[in-house]
Amino acid sequence: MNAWAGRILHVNLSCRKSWTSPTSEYVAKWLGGKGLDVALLTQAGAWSVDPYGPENPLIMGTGPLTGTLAPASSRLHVAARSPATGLFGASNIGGHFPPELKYAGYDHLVITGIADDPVILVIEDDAVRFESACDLWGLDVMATHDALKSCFGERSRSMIIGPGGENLVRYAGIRAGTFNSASRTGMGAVMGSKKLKAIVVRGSGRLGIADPERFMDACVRMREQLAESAPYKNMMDTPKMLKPAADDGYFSYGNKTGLSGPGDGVVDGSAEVLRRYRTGKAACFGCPLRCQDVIDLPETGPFGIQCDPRIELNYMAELSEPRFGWLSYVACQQMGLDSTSTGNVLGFVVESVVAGDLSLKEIAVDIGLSRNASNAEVYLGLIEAIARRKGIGDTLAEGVARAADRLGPEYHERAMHRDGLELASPEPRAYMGLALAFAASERGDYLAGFPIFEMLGPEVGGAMARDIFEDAGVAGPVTDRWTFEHKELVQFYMENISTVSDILGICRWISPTNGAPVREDAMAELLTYAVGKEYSGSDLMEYACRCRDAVHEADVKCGKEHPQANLPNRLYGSVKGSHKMLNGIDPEQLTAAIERYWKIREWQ
Amino acid sequence: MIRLKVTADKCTGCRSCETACSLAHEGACSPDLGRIWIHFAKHDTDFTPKICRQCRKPRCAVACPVGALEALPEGGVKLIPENCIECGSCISACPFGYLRLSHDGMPLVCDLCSGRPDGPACVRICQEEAITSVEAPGPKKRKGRIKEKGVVDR
Repeated sequence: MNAWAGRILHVNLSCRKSWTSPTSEYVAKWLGGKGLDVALLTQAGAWSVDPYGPENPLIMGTGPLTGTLAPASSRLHVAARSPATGLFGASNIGGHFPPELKYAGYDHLVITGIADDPVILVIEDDAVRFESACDLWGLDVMATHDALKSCFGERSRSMIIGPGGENLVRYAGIRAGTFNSASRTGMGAVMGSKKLKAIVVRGSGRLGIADPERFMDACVRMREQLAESAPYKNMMDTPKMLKPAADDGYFSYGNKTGLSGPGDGVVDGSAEVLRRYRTGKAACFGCPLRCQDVIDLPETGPFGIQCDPRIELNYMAELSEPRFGWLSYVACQQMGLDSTSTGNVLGFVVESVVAGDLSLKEIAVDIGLSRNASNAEVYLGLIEAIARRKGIGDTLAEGVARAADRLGPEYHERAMHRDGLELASPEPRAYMGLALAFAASERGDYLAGFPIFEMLGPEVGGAMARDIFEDAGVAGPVTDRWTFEHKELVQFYMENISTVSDILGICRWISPTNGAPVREDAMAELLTYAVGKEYSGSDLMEYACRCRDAVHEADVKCGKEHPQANLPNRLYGSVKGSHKMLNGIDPEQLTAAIERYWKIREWQ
Repeated sequence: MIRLKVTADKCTGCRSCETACSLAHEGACSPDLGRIWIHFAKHDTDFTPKICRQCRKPRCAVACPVGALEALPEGGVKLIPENCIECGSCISACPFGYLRLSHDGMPLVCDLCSGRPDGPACVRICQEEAITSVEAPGPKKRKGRIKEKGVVDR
């Protein structure tokens, strides 16, 4: 079986047993990656179980191109029923762990059960064993990482949870190495509920390629194409890349009560941090885009920061000290928390402090700091307090929706979430396509339906849209950020192309989702040469639709309701920044756009 | 005669060279079978490309007791697998700690993709130009250059 490793590794932590099954039985219908994740979860009956129960399988799935020479072939899709939303939970991760899992001989990892005591799952090719993690339980991510490297060798790769996952923080993530995290939807908490501190893998196998020469030629061509593209060039200076978007009002701050703009120092401050502390660029396995900046802050040591300057922590929390954003990002990673959700939670706290419902001094004492601690110290301390469920951290660890339930009715209007998942910092009022993406995407997230045409504008975005939709009547409106017209087509295409990437095990950042040139036909060409069976771009889009439909069916089984304007009420009102004002989203138009999107998907 | 030149500062640690190398030589993707490899220290931020230095008189070939390694006139070293007795002498002879064994016990020597029309696969795949192929300087030129720089004066 070319390209695939050929086996699924099943692990039951309750009885500490492992066994394998062939991947081939799923390939025809699901191909791999995210598609197979959904199939395996549905087969296991995950949609009716407690997310923290032994029956909720934690699945890690690579795709057929993961670990091959294909560009950006580093991805793994982590999935389980989410403790944050109660729906299909998923997060995608790159780095070096996913290819290593395939070289060890496994396409997917299905983990069920709950261990008696904290364990590490160690996979060395065919040898699968369990080791005690009692000594590591409670340690932060990098301390655990270093201990695992010392124990299992420099060439081993690991997926680790921090105190956040151990203590079932509903937005805890899983961390791999110095750079990568699978953080959204609480996958780290699912791993923590299984008392699984880490998965260590070392693989020495090989992935067969049906037509090595043509595969290599296609990979080289694709890399040359990527090296000419704007995303490749922009990666050297992400703050500069984000500046036009910031000018548009892309970044909200203060828990969606304000907008960042030119001159407020946050983007400029991030650029300065990059200029002063960046020591180099690094890439995930096989990736020509090298989106990671290695930042060496004196307080943290070298740490990898992916893609953007993590300003959302600043933005959401309304703290304009740029180093705070970086320090809090590192604190989130060390504690094993999702930095997006944590930024949102901090914004929720900031707003409550400003409203007089919470007091920073009381919070400081509550989490064991001095009353005189600075604001930044309290917020940084709060990140650890959330992960360790200390004081008010215990309430905040439940996420903003549940925290508002506990704290009182006045907190509800401050809870910026969809279906229980905290919204990310991009401002939906600045782009209607983004509003639809937040409302209609599977996990209340904007990444799968990124409104790239609107962001790139009529000239560049328009050319790309004409190429994709082959209809000038569509290409015009989809670059207009103030209308919902035809945005359901963008959502449909972008979700599908993202899903194709997630199924194949390559990074969606090389696709149009990021304004990059690799489309479904090029991906199909690579798959054809790798597998030795003909695939077309439309075949791949069909797999993507099947996968998205399966996710939707799962969400309905989990209790998701009929479409409606489901964003926080605040977003239907206007917002003012120092440089501009944005009108609120029209809920009726949003609902109509969601309905049009559902119609294309043929959902009832 | 060419040789490979590494500019470590340009390397992003993506390991595409490892996969390209194994694909060119083995027809499969397997970093463990790469004739080039990226050494990662404890952290992912700390990586160094490990590559054959193409010694003028390859120590690995000199050390081989059975003539299984042959220095190619155009550069690089070729393995004659049927001669190899898997003794590992070549591994200890490599002064740069570069040479590794494959799973079947034979050394993974770099032949500079001898016979491939597009040249070394690692060079082809590295768009950061961290690995490039350059004309190897002749002995006289090399000596002169070293003298000029004043690094070594014999």
